[in-house]
Amino acid sequence: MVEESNLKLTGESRQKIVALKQLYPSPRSAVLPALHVVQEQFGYVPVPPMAEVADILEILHGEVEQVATFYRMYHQQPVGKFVVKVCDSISCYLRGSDELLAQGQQKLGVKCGGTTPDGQITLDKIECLAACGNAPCIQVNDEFIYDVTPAQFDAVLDELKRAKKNPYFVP
Amino acid sequence: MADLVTLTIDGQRLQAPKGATIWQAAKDAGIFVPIYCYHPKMSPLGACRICLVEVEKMPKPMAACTTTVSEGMVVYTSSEAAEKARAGVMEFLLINHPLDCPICDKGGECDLQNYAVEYGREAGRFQEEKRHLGKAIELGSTIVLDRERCIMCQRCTRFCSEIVQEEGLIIRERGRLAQIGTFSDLPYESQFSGNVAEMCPVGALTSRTYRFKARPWELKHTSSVCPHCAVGCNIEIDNRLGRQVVRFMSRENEAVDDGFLCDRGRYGHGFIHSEQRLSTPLLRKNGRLEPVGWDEAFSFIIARLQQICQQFGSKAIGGIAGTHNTNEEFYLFKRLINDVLGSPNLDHYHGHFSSLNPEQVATFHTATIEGLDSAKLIVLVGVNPSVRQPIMELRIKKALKAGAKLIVIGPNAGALERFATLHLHVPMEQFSPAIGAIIAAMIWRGTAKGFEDPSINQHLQSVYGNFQTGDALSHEINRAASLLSKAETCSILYDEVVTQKAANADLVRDLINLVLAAGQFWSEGHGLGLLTADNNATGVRDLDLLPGQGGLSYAQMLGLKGATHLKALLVMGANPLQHVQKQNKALANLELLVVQDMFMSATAELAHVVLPVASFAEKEGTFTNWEGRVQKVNVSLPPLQGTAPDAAIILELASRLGEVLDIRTPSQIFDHLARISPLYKDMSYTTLAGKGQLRPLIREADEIEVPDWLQRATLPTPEILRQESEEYPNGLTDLLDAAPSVDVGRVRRAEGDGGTAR
Ligand code: SF4
Ligand code: SF4
Ligand code: FES
Ligand code: FES
Repeated sequence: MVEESNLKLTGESRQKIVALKQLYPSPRSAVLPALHVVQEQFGYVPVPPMAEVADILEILHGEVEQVATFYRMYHQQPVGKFVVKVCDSISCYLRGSDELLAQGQQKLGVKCGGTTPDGQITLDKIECLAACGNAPCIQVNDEFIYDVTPAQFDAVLDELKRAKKNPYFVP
Repeated sequence: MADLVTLTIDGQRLQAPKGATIWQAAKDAGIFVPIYCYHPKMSPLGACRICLVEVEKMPKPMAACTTTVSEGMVVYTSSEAAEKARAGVMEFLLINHPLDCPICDKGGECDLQNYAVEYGREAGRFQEEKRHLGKAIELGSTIVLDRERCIMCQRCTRFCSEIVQEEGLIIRERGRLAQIGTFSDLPYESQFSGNVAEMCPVGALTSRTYRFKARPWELKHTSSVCPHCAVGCNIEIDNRLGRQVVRFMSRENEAVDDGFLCDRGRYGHGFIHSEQRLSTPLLRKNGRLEPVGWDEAFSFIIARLQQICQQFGSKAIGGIAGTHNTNEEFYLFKRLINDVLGSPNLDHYHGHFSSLNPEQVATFHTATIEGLDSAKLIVLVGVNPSVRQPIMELRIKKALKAGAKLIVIGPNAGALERFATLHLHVPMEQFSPAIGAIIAAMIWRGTAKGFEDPSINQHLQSVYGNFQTGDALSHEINRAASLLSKAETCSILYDEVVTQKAANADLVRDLINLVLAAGQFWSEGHGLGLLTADNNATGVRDLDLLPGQGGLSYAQMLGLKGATHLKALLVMGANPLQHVQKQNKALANLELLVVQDMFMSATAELAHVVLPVASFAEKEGTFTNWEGRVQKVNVSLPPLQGTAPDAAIILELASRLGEVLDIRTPSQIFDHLARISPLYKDMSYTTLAGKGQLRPLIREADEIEVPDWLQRATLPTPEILRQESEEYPNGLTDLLDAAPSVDVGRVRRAEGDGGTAR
């Protein structure tokens, strides 16, 4: 594995971020989408590219880290191939999301935020996904699954254990 | 008035400016509302909610620090609802607070403690285990963080990002997990770091130098002025049990420091109690300096002086003053040399100001620190405040944030460099031609404010009309001219040190002409500003400690211009040997060299007599900062055993020489100065206390008249301005990167003595 200190944005990522910067009257506004570009490249947000983003957007390095650690969508550690995110905000909580989370932890043998040893699945929780009408709701990478029952959740995890591509991907 | 709204706070009808916050309106009316996250120098955040007040017609309590006043608003700051809201906030803040007040440095001066007593419940209702986080984390070389005590007010982080605008403290994570830290856990190093510990409302951030040194109730506070550079930030000397100075805190003076100190100033108190301080007079016996009593030292000096006077006359005696003493000591030293000893040989280490006398220098330098706030353009000529006058860096950044533009002329402007709208990379010996070229370009445009005045127009035309600029920097020169032509208000600052370069001996003329062209001549607060480095380099010039008729100059007395007839030299608080590069015989040949200092120095090593003196914290008097503000220092503790204030030494010497000076005490001296010197006209020692007083502007006439001496006989050589900076053989650029001498000398010696000062 590459030492984290050597991680660098690709030319393509840099170009994307420079393009994003042009979209806003104040360059700092591009920090959120720019961090998504970083995450796209690395699967998480490592430290050196944060500094690169800051330099491109002409803001302080620390300002980028403040944002990157504030939002749960940005991963601070490498994650598995599939990230299963269980909403733990109020509606989903009232409809049993905490039980789903406990179930997942037990089934995968990882703690919340952890990744299976084979690097296949990361289990995490997330704030309200704005799908409260279909609570409880989960996400597999960026795709939604609504009204999840324990049996369904079990099946989802089983499927992901073997999957090569995100089976829930909607183009 | 349209800009005022009328509201009622606690039954009191009052008016407040539109857009003001409830907190500000209450404060102006003398009504106290507690705050944690709000800081008057930073944008409101509304994070902590301790400032909740009840506002009629509002369903919920409002944060006084973020809610703006409106017409007819009715506010209650201590109604039942407001008190209840605040008690609730306090209860939440204390849920996880460790309550380790007995071992917390802030205990006794902590807003969390104070408001808990004032607004909190007697006991919390939370029985659960408190959260545990890192304690005593060393964030860097100066600041320690206790994560459990932090209340997330974000004063420290906003200070770093809004005011210092450099990498510093940030918040990582959010909600329950939020913590203060730094980017990628790098050490927190900043030359303004001490401010975060001072502004932290709780004991989360503490200073390494002060931790566990004292309890707030043991401290005696003395108002004083920082001695470490020419800004003259206002400080409070905190002295434990009258015996030991344990810290300097800021004593906000909006006009000078905005309530901040740099670390050099804040942590620069170790020298007061340094083990290396001299504490007994030294007399050379058999080639070695030996400790002697004061009487023996004085008798020796007097005998030698009288003998030299008889044999060679009074012109064989000279005096060199430092740039750190009080104005009152300078006055006495001048009287000693000029009047009592009758010698014109008196000088100090200073820059070149053409043929201007001290009064004229003061008159033409009109820029002030506060004036920068309203400057639309700031021009730095060979200035590096980050190293030499640190708080100026923050003040200039503040102006830039408010929209001012910045032109940097010269090799290096430190941390300000990246904010420059335009940077002219001109080597130091080309400052004059560069300024000349800018004026020539402004003449060509003819649109600047100054040109509206026909006499100025004509004057500048006659001096710079034919100036050949060359073309290497023509684009930059033109942009500078355009910025200067457009700026409504403009402050042009240069460092005294650049005038010491032979090529810049006449720089002040060009700069004054530039000020004329920009229409800032005799403006109040804008125009030209002379940044000196040492804390009283301005006072020593104001008091005219310069060679009299036929007197020897600093360089002459040091033998830098050939042999002299000097036989005796009295040195007060200076180390002239540091400016003598080559070995020279002038000092070694003296029959009497007396040095008054706190520490041994290269010059003191050569002396026949060394007299140990009191520090600035052990005496009273006044300092004049670079803009000409006279400020008072007070006695925090008695002089170290065995030392004496410089003033007492001079008075004793004078009386032993048969002249008892009648004007003796600092207040007598200063009030005398206010009578005789136009520079300190109408000031008085008593009214100086507090915020100090700016030198009055002395104008020769009400109309702007171009002074004769500005007319040049010859034009500066129109050399091509070189883009590349060269090496400076005599190390003057290094000087621009050097902190004022008191720092280099005294603080370094005091290291290991509680001073991590950098
Ligand atoms: S460390 Fe102090 S100043 Fe900084 S956020 Fe915490 S309580 Fe506020
Ligand atoms: S800027 Fe100068 S006067 Fe102010 S605290 Fe620093 S050293 Fe002292
Ligand atoms: S609470 Fe889960 S989607 Fe809104
Ligand atoms: S002081 Fe008003 S919310 Fe913190």
